[in-house]
Amino acid sequence: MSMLIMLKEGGTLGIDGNPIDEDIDLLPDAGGGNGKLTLIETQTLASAQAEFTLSALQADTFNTHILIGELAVDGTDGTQYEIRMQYTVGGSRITSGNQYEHRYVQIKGGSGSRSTRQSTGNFHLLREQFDDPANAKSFNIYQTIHNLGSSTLSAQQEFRGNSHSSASNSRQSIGGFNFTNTGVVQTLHIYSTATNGFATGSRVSLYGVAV
Amino acid sequence: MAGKFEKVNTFTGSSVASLTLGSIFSADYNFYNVYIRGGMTGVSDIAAERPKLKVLTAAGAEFSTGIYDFTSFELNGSNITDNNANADQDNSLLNILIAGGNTFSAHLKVFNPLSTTFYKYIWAACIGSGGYNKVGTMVKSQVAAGGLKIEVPGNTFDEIHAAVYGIKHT
Repeated sequence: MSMLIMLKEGGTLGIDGNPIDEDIDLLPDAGGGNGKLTLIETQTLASAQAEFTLSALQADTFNTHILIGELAVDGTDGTQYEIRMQYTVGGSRITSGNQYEHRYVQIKGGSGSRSTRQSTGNFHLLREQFDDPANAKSFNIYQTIHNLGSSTLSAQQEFRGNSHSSASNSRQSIGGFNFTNTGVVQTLHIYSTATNGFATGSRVSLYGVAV
Repeated sequence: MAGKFEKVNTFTGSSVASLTLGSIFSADYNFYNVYIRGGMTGVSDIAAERPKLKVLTAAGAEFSTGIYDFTSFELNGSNITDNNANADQDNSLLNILIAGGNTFSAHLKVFNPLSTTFYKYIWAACIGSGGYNKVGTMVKSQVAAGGLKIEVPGNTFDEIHAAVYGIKHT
Protein backbone atom coordinates (compact mmCIF):
# COMPACT_ATOMS: atom_id res chain seq x y z
CA MET A 1 0.00 0.00 0.00
CA SER A 2 2.78 2.43 0.82
CA MET A 3 4.30 1.84 -2.59
CA LEU A 4 0.95 2.56 -4.19
CA ILE A 5 0.75 5.92 -2.42
CA MET A 6 4.23 6.90 -3.50
CA LEU A 7 3.46 6.12 -7.08
CA LYS A 8 0.10 7.78 -7.17
CA GLU A 9 0.65 11.11 -5.46
CA GLY A 10 1.53 13.65 -8.11
CA GLY A 11 1.80 11.14 -10.87
CA THR A 12 -0.06 8.71 -13.03
CA LEU A 13 -0.72 5.16 -12.08
CA GLY A 14 -0.83 2.55 -14.78
CA ILE A 15 -2.57 -0.75 -14.40
CA ASP A 16 -2.26 -3.25 -17.22
CA GLY A 17 -0.99 -0.50 -19.47
CA ASN A 18 -4.02 1.75 -18.96
CA PRO A 19 -3.14 5.04 -17.30
CA ILE A 20 -5.40 6.28 -14.52
CA ASP A 21 -5.39 10.06 -14.26
CA GLU A 22 -8.09 10.50 -11.67
CA ASP A 23 -7.08 12.87 -8.89
CA ILE A 24 -7.03 10.65 -5.84
CA ASP A 25 -6.10 12.71 -2.81
CA LEU A 26 -4.24 10.53 -0.36
CA LEU A 27 -2.74 13.30 1.74
CA PRO A 28 -4.36 14.72 4.86
CA ASP A 29 -6.23 18.00 4.53
CA ALA A 30 -5.14 19.61 7.75
CA GLY A 31 -1.95 20.30 9.57
CA GLY A 32 0.55 19.37 6.94
CA GLY A 33 2.82 21.34 4.70
CA ASN A 34 1.07 20.20 1.57
CA GLY A 35 0.38 23.69 0.30
CA LYS A 36 -3.38 23.56 0.64
CA LEU A 37 -5.47 26.07 2.44
CA THR A 38 -7.08 24.57 5.48
CA LEU A 39 -10.44 25.95 6.46
CA ILE A 40 -10.27 26.55 10.19
CA GLU A 41 -13.70 28.00 10.64
CA THR A 42 -16.47 30.05 9.10
CA GLN A 43 -18.77 32.21 11.17
CA THR A 44 -22.01 33.52 9.72
CA LEU A 45 -24.23 35.78 11.77
CA ALA A 46 -27.77 34.61 12.36
CA SER A 47 -28.54 37.98 13.88
CA ALA A 48 -26.76 41.29 14.15
CA GLN A 49 -23.85 41.45 16.55
CA ALA A 50 -20.95 43.74 17.20
CA GLU A 51 -18.06 41.32 16.96
CA PHE A 52 -16.62 38.20 15.40
CA THR A 53 -14.37 36.31 17.79
CA LEU A 54 -12.04 33.77 16.24
CA SER A 55 -10.25 31.67 18.81
CA ALA A 56 -9.39 28.49 16.92
CA LEU A 57 -6.36 29.96 15.20
CA GLN A 58 -4.17 26.85 15.28
CA ALA A 59 -1.23 29.25 15.28
CA ASP A 60 1.11 26.47 16.33
CA THR A 61 0.33 24.69 13.07
CA PHE A 62 0.02 27.50 10.57
CA ASN A 63 2.53 30.24 9.96
CA THR A 64 0.20 32.21 7.74
CA HIS A 65 -3.54 32.73 7.89
CA ILE A 66 -5.94 34.10 5.33
CA LEU A 67 -9.05 35.86 6.51
CA ILE A 68 -11.87 36.46 4.04
CA GLY A 69 -14.74 38.59 5.24
CA GLU A 70 -18.02 39.67 3.75
CA LEU A 71 -19.36 42.13 6.25
CA ALA A 72 -22.47 44.24 6.17
CA VAL A 73 -23.87 47.05 8.24
CA ASP A 74 -27.52 47.89 7.85
CA GLY A 75 -28.85 51.22 6.74
CA THR A 76 -30.48 52.21 9.97
CA ASP A 77 -27.28 52.74 11.83
CA GLY A 78 -27.11 56.42 11.16
CA THR A 79 -23.81 57.11 12.83
CA GLN A 80 -20.20 57.20 11.83
CA TYR A 81 -18.33 54.07 12.74
CA GLU A 82 -15.25 51.99 12.15
CA ILE A 83 -14.44 48.34 11.50
CA ARG A 84 -11.51 47.30 13.69
CA MET A 85 -9.41 44.33 14.69
CA GLN A 86 -7.73 43.49 17.97
CA TYR A 87 -5.82 40.49 19.33
CA THR A 88 -5.83 38.51 22.50
CA VAL A 89 -2.35 37.57 23.71
CA GLY A 90 -1.56 35.69 26.88
CA GLY A 91 -5.20 35.56 27.82
CA SER A 92 -5.66 39.33 27.67
CA ARG A 93 -7.14 41.39 24.88
CA ILE A 94 -4.65 44.06 23.87
CA THR A 95 -6.49 47.36 23.97
CA SER A 96 -3.65 49.71 24.79
CA GLY A 97 0.07 50.02 24.51
CA ASN A 98 0.42 51.13 20.92
CA GLN A 99 1.43 47.72 19.63
CA TYR A 100 -0.81 48.08 16.60
CA GLU A 101 0.33 49.97 13.54
CA HIS A 102 -1.56 50.35 10.32
CA ARG A 103 -0.70 52.17 7.14
CA TYR A 104 -2.70 52.12 3.99
CA VAL A 105 -3.69 54.10 0.96
CA GLN A 106 -7.26 54.37 -0.14
CA ILE A 107 -9.19 55.82 -3.00
CA LYS A 108 -12.72 56.98 -2.83
CA GLY A 109 -15.24 56.53 -5.62
CA GLY A 110 -17.02 59.55 -6.96
CA SER A 111 -14.47 62.18 -6.05
CA GLY A 112 -11.56 59.90 -6.78
CA SER A 113 -9.72 61.42 -3.87
CA ARG A 114 -6.78 59.43 -2.63
CA SER A 115 -5.47 59.57 0.88
CA THR A 116 -3.17 57.71 3.16
CA ARG A 117 -3.96 56.59 6.66
CA GLN A 118 -1.47 55.67 9.28
CA SER A 119 -1.69 55.25 12.98
CA THR A 120 -0.05 53.66 15.95
CA GLY A 121 -3.04 53.01 18.09
CA ASN A 122 -4.87 50.39 19.99
CA PHE A 123 -6.37 48.49 17.10
CA HIS A 124 -6.01 47.76 13.41
CA LEU A 125 -8.34 49.89 11.38
CA LEU A 126 -9.99 47.69 8.76
CA ARG A 127 -12.28 50.42 7.53
CA GLU A 128 -12.46 54.01 8.53
CA GLN A 129 -15.65 55.68 9.58
CA PHE A 130 -17.88 56.07 6.64
CA ASP A 131 -19.20 59.22 5.04
CA ASP A 132 -22.61 57.80 4.43
CA PRO A 133 -23.89 56.24 7.63
CA ALA A 134 -27.51 56.22 6.59
CA ASN A 135 -27.22 53.63 3.84
CA ALA A 136 -26.58 49.90 4.01
CA LYS A 137 -23.01 48.97 3.29
CA SER A 138 -20.96 46.00 2.31
CA PHE A 139 -17.37 45.57 3.39
CA ASN A 140 -15.09 42.98 1.87
CA ILE A 141 -11.75 42.15 3.36
CA TYR A 142 -8.98 39.79 2.35
CA GLN A 143 -6.20 39.66 4.90
CA THR A 144 -3.03 37.63 4.72
CA ILE A 145 -1.74 37.38 8.28
CA HIS A 146 1.71 36.14 9.27
CA ASN A 147 3.29 35.07 12.55
CA LEU A 148 0.28 34.75 14.82
CA GLY A 149 2.07 31.88 16.50
CA SER A 150 5.39 33.64 16.95
CA SER A 151 6.52 35.29 20.16
CA THR A 152 9.47 36.94 18.47
CA LEU A 153 8.28 38.04 15.03
CA SER A 154 5.62 40.70 14.67
CA ALA A 155 2.21 39.62 13.48
CA GLN A 156 1.85 41.30 10.11
CA GLN A 157 -1.00 41.60 7.70
CA GLU A 158 -1.28 42.39 4.05
CA PHE A 159 -4.57 44.13 3.62
CA ARG A 160 -6.98 44.37 0.69
CA GLY A 161 -10.33 45.79 1.41
CA ASN A 162 -13.20 47.79 0.18
CA SER A 163 -16.46 49.19 1.33
CA HIS A 164 -19.48 50.38 -0.45
CA SER A 165 -22.78 52.07 0.09
CA SER A 166 -23.79 54.64 -2.45
CA ALA A 167 -22.15 55.41 -5.75
CA SER A 168 -20.01 58.19 -4.39
CA ASN A 169 -18.93 56.35 -1.30
CA SER A 170 -17.26 53.19 -2.47
CA ARG A 171 -13.68 52.86 -1.35
CA GLN A 172 -10.75 50.63 -1.92
CA SER A 173 -7.73 50.37 0.29
CA ILE A 174 -4.41 48.60 0.18
CA GLY A 175 -1.96 48.49 2.98
CA GLY A 176 -0.30 46.67 5.80
CA PHE A 177 -0.72 46.15 9.50
CA ASN A 178 1.95 45.38 12.06
CA PHE A 179 1.52 44.13 15.60
CA THR A 180 4.51 43.92 17.89
CA ASN A 181 4.01 40.57 19.52
CA THR A 182 4.48 39.96 23.18
CA GLY A 183 3.39 36.36 22.80
CA VAL A 184 1.38 34.01 20.67
CA VAL A 185 -1.84 35.54 19.37
CA GLN A 186 -4.71 33.45 20.69
CA THR A 187 -7.79 35.23 19.39
CA LEU A 188 -8.76 37.62 16.61
CA HIS A 189 -11.50 40.10 17.33
CA ILE A 190 -13.17 41.80 14.38
CA TYR A 191 -15.62 44.36 15.59
CA SER A 192 -17.67 47.30 14.54
CA THR A 193 -18.34 50.46 16.44
CA ALA A 194 -21.63 50.81 14.57
CA THR A 195 -24.62 51.03 16.85
CA ASN A 196 -26.19 47.92 15.40
CA GLY A 197 -22.97 46.04 14.76
CA PHE A 198 -22.64 43.72 11.79
CA ALA A 199 -25.84 42.81 9.99
CA THR A 200 -27.36 39.36 9.73
CA GLY A 201 -25.61 37.25 7.13
CA SER A 202 -22.20 38.80 7.64
CA ARG A 203 -19.54 36.14 7.36
CA VAL A 204 -15.86 35.60 8.02
CA SER A 205 -13.78 32.58 7.08
CA LEU A 206 -10.35 31.81 8.48
CA TYR A 207 -7.87 29.65 6.61
CA GLY A 208 -4.48 28.35 7.59
CA VAL A 209 -1.53 28.05 5.25
CA ALA A 210 1.50 26.01 6.21
CA VAL A 211 4.64 27.54 4.77
CA MET B 1 -14.31 20.46 -0.75
CA ALA B 2 -14.10 23.07 1.93
CA GLY B 3 -10.69 24.62 2.27
CA LYS B 4 -9.47 23.78 -1.17
CA PHE B 5 -9.48 25.87 -4.29
CA GLU B 6 -10.91 23.80 -7.08
CA LYS B 7 -10.77 24.49 -10.77
CA VAL B 8 -14.15 25.68 -11.98
CA ASN B 9 -13.29 26.07 -15.61
CA THR B 10 -10.73 27.38 -18.06
CA PHE B 11 -11.32 29.47 -21.14
CA THR B 12 -9.22 30.40 -24.12
CA GLY B 13 -9.65 32.34 -27.32
CA SER B 14 -7.66 33.58 -30.28
CA SER B 15 -8.34 36.44 -32.66
CA VAL B 16 -11.37 37.45 -30.65
CA ALA B 17 -12.64 40.77 -29.33
CA SER B 18 -13.94 39.23 -26.13
CA LEU B 19 -13.80 36.18 -23.93
CA THR B 20 -16.87 35.11 -22.00
CA LEU B 21 -16.46 33.25 -18.73
CA GLY B 22 -20.02 32.01 -18.55
CA SER B 23 -21.67 30.09 -15.73
CA ILE B 24 -18.64 30.18 -13.47
CA PHE B 25 -20.39 31.28 -10.29
CA SER B 26 -22.53 28.79 -8.45
CA ALA B 27 -23.59 27.72 -4.99
CA ASP B 28 -20.71 25.26 -5.00
CA TYR B 29 -18.29 28.04 -4.00
CA ASN B 30 -18.26 31.28 -2.01
CA PHE B 31 -15.09 32.97 -3.21
CA TYR B 32 -13.17 32.85 -6.47
CA ASN B 33 -9.74 33.48 -7.87
CA VAL B 34 -9.70 34.28 -11.57
CA TYR B 35 -6.47 34.43 -13.55
CA ILE B 36 -6.44 36.15 -16.92
CA ARG B 37 -3.60 36.55 -19.36
CA GLY B 38 -3.50 37.59 -22.95
CA GLY B 39 -1.97 39.58 -25.71
CA MET B 40 -2.91 41.66 -28.68
CA THR B 41 -1.28 43.39 -31.55
CA GLY B 42 0.61 46.40 -30.31
CA VAL B 43 -1.67 49.11 -29.02
CA SER B 44 -1.97 52.34 -30.94
CA ASP B 45 -4.98 53.90 -29.25
CA ILE B 46 -4.54 53.39 -25.54
CA ALA B 47 -7.98 54.60 -24.55
CA ALA B 48 -9.76 52.34 -27.01
CA GLU B 49 -7.69 49.27 -26.48
CA ARG B 50 -7.68 48.74 -22.78
CA PRO B 51 -9.18 45.41 -21.77
CA LYS B 52 -12.39 45.80 -19.82
CA LEU B 53 -14.21 43.63 -17.36
CA LYS B 54 -17.96 43.15 -17.39
CA VAL B 55 -20.17 41.14 -15.08
CA LEU B 56 -22.80 38.79 -16.45
CA THR B 57 -26.07 37.59 -15.02
CA ALA B 58 -26.77 33.91 -14.56
CA ALA B 59 -28.44 34.02 -17.97
CA GLY B 60 -25.31 35.46 -19.54
CA ALA B 61 -26.59 38.99 -20.07
CA GLU B 62 -24.34 41.93 -19.24
CA PHE B 63 -25.18 43.83 -16.11
CA SER B 64 -26.51 47.28 -16.79
CA THR B 65 -24.02 50.09 -16.80
CA GLY B 66 -25.47 51.66 -13.69
CA ILE B 67 -24.25 49.02 -11.30
CA TYR B 68 -20.52 49.45 -11.65
CA ASP B 69 -18.51 51.51 -9.24
CA PHE B 70 -14.88 51.50 -9.94
CA THR B 71 -11.80 52.77 -8.22
CA SER B 72 -8.14 52.10 -8.87
CA PHE B 73 -4.63 53.17 -8.24
CA GLU B 74 -2.87 53.06 -11.53
CA LEU B 75 0.90 53.07 -11.55
CA ASN B 76 2.06 54.20 -14.95
CA GLY B 77 5.70 54.94 -15.31
CA SER B 78 6.71 57.11 -12.40
CA ASN B 79 3.22 58.45 -11.86
CA ILE B 80 0.19 57.33 -9.92
CA THR B 81 -3.14 57.98 -11.53
CA ASP B 82 -6.37 57.66 -9.58
CA ASN B 83 -9.23 56.31 -11.59
CA ASN B 84 -12.74 56.18 -10.43
CA ALA B 85 -16.09 56.04 -12.07
CA ASN B 86 -19.65 55.40 -11.13
CA ALA B 87 -22.36 53.99 -13.31
CA ASP B 88 -20.01 53.59 -16.23
CA GLN B 89 -18.72 50.23 -17.19
CA ASP B 90 -16.67 51.77 -19.96
CA ASN B 91 -14.28 52.77 -17.26
CA SER B 92 -14.07 49.36 -15.70
CA LEU B 93 -10.60 48.93 -17.03
CA LEU B 94 -8.58 45.91 -16.21
CA ASN B 95 -5.24 47.13 -17.43
CA ILE B 96 -3.22 49.98 -18.70
CA LEU B 97 -1.19 49.41 -21.79
CA ILE B 98 1.33 51.75 -23.30
CA ALA B 99 1.47 52.48 -26.99
CA GLY B 100 2.99 49.43 -28.61
CA GLY B 101 2.38 47.28 -25.57
CA ASN B 102 0.70 44.00 -26.17
CA THR B 103 0.67 41.75 -23.12
CA PHE B 104 -1.46 41.94 -20.01
CA SER B 105 -2.46 39.77 -17.09
CA ALA B 106 -4.80 40.06 -14.17
CA HIS B 107 -5.70 38.31 -10.96
CA LEU B 108 -9.23 38.82 -9.70
CA LYS B 109 -10.58 38.06 -6.26
CA VAL B 110 -14.34 37.74 -6.46
CA PHE B 111 -16.40 38.01 -3.29
CA ASN B 112 -19.88 36.65 -2.88
CA PRO B 113 -21.11 36.81 -6.49
CA LEU B 114 -24.38 34.99 -5.82
CA SER B 115 -25.47 37.20 -2.97
CA THR B 116 -28.75 38.99 -3.39
CA THR B 117 -28.23 40.85 -0.13
CA PHE B 118 -24.70 42.15 -0.20
CA TYR B 119 -23.03 44.17 -2.85
CA LYS B 120 -20.60 42.23 -4.93
CA TYR B 121 -16.99 43.09 -5.15
CA ILE B 122 -14.12 42.23 -7.42
CA TRP B 123 -10.61 43.16 -6.54
CA ALA B 124 -8.05 42.98 -9.30
CA ALA B 125 -4.30 43.22 -9.56
CA CYS B 126 -3.26 43.80 -13.14
CA ILE B 127 -0.10 44.34 -15.06
CA GLY B 128 0.45 45.44 -18.62
CA SER B 129 3.41 45.72 -20.90
CA GLY B 130 4.21 49.23 -19.87
CA GLY B 131 2.85 49.68 -16.42
CA TYR B 132 1.16 48.38 -13.38
CA ASN B 133 -2.44 48.70 -12.35
CA LYS B 134 -4.47 47.70 -9.34
CA VAL B 135 -8.20 47.93 -9.69
CA GLY B 136 -11.09 47.58 -7.31
CA THR B 137 -14.42 47.23 -8.97
CA MET B 138 -17.58 47.28 -6.94
CA VAL B 139 -20.77 46.01 -8.43
CA LYS B 140 -23.71 47.62 -6.72
CA SER B 141 -26.28 45.16 -7.94
CA GLN B 142 -27.98 42.78 -5.57
CA VAL B 143 -28.73 40.51 -8.51
CA ALA B 144 -26.80 37.26 -8.52
CA ALA B 145 -23.91 37.18 -10.96
CA GLY B 146 -23.24 34.21 -13.19
CA GLY B 147 -20.07 35.05 -15.05
CA LEU B 148 -17.58 37.55 -16.38
CA LYS B 149 -16.58 38.91 -19.74
CA ILE B 150 -13.29 40.41 -20.85
CA GLU B 151 -13.36 42.51 -23.95
CA VAL B 152 -11.36 45.06 -25.83
CA PRO B 153 -12.88 47.62 -28.17
CA GLY B 154 -10.97 48.64 -31.21
CA ASN B 155 -8.71 45.64 -31.22
CA THR B 156 -8.74 41.88 -30.89
CA PHE B 157 -6.97 39.55 -28.57
CA ASP B 158 -4.42 37.54 -30.47
CA GLU B 159 -4.75 35.15 -27.60
CA ILE B 160 -6.47 35.25 -24.27
CA HIS B 161 -6.74 32.72 -21.49
CA ALA B 162 -8.62 32.56 -18.22
CA ALA B 163 -8.75 30.08 -15.37
CA VAL B 164 -11.34 30.18 -12.59
CA TYR B 165 -10.91 28.59 -9.17
CA GLY B 166 -13.49 28.49 -6.40
CA ILE B 167 -13.42 27.77 -2.71
CA LYS B 168 -16.25 26.85 -0.36
CA HIS B 169 -16.29 28.42 3.08
CA THR B 170 -19.35 26.70 4.43
